Amino acid sequence: MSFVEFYSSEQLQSVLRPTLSQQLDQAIEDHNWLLASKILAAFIDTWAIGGSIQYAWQHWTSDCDPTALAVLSRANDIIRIIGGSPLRIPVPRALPPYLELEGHEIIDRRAEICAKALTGEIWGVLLHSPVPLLPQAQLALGELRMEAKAQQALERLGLVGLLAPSAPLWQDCFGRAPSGRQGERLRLMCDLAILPSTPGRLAKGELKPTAWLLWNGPAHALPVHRIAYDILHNIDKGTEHAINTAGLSMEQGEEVISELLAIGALDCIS
Amino acid sequence: MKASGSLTILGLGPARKEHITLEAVQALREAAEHGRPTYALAHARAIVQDLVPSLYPKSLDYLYTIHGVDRPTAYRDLAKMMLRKAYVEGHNVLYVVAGSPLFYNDAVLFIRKIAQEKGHQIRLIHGMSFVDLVLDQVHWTGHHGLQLYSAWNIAHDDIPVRNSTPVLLCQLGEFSAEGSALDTSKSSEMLKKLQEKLLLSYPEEHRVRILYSSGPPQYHSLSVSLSILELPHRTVPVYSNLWIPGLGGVE
Repeated sequence: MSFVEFYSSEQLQSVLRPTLSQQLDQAIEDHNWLLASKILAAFIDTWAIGGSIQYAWQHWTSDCDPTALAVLSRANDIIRIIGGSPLRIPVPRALPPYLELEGHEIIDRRAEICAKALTGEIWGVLLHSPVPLLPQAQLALGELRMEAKAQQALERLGLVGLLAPSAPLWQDCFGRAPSGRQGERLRLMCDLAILPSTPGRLAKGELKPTAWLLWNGPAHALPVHRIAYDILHNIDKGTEHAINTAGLSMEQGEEVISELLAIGALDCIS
Repeated sequence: MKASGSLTILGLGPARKEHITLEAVQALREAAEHGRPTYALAHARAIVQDLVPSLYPKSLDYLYTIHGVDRPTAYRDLAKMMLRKAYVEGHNVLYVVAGSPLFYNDAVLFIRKIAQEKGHQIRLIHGMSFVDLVLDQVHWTGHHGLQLYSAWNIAHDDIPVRNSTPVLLCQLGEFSAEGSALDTSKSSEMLKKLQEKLLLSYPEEHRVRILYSSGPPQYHSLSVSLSILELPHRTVPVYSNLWIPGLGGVE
């Protein structure tokens, strides 16, 4: 199965999200908060990944786009979380030069590898085992990360990271959704969900049902106030009805709607 | 490339671009032009980028984040690393520091000592020291001497101060892992400890003065007068200083 197939709308609805949801319930029941937080984050991220996987696949395989690689890598993280085998990320062009070492070798070979990294003779070092926690080993790793153009990407993303040294962290991949336009009739631009918490709170064992806005595209999900959720939930029945249902005055409701347009949760029906 | 390199240590001055020497600006421009390996910590990197946008100093910030590596070990490692790149690998290395390279910079001290032992010539480009800047908030000319210590020396190293001569204590804050010079998070602890030590030599109502900077973009020097008793109730950025006049009003 390819990335695009794995994250297709049908797979997301019938396999991936139900599996994550089940795992999340179990982790919460077990009070395994760190795992629960990880699964919740994965569940939320399936929206942004599902909406950008095709673009990411195309742009990685055609021009080694760094953001595309970060998306594919996060997609693999989630596959691992549900117990699957990560999919192969292709290597679209020849890799820049690199070395392969055991983690402990970094101490004795520090000067040699960092010298090569500084001149660009190598772009990174693939470490086959963990670098010891000894100060001299960690200092050597620090220098290597400073000097080698793609070391940090290589450590995060594997050998393909050598082709995208500037690959962003997943949390930096996307910004906000584009703002919507004001109009007489508005439509929802994202999915809505009430989830058990935020990943940060859940890691501390705090269960607090939270409303989430989830975009099927390259935009990070946002937790919102329950009133915003209520308005969005009823927006297809008209602005006035949605505001009344949320228990707000028209003035207050219009302010909330203006914010929801700004964050791209709503747009006008043209 | 073998053994024909050089190491330049460049002081940027306290923070404002106007305080940087022409020699320093020229060296930074040359480094950009010739692609010289350039290294700096966070706050110095930002100043360099502002001055010479085409120069990208490599970040030494990781030295503050390695678990189990204390500052002296990190600074020694930095010193050996800079010297290796210059005199073993043969690069023309530029190491950029904030302020003057000669005031409270242990890494520079290690570099200079090792370089002297090994017979390497290093180039020093002086930068204005913070001392020049902060003294405009007090009235001191040198006639009564000056005791200059880091706050850490007094708070933790049990170095005694003489209460008859003015004292300037620098770096009232302490760097956290991010290495931000504007970080105030660790200063309360330092000020509390300082208070304990100062009360051994001064009455609690003795007026002292915190000397600090307004921060970017103007970096005006500012000060606030308070008693030793009030010290622990303050938070200050890392590079704040404390002026303690001598007893009897000796400044």
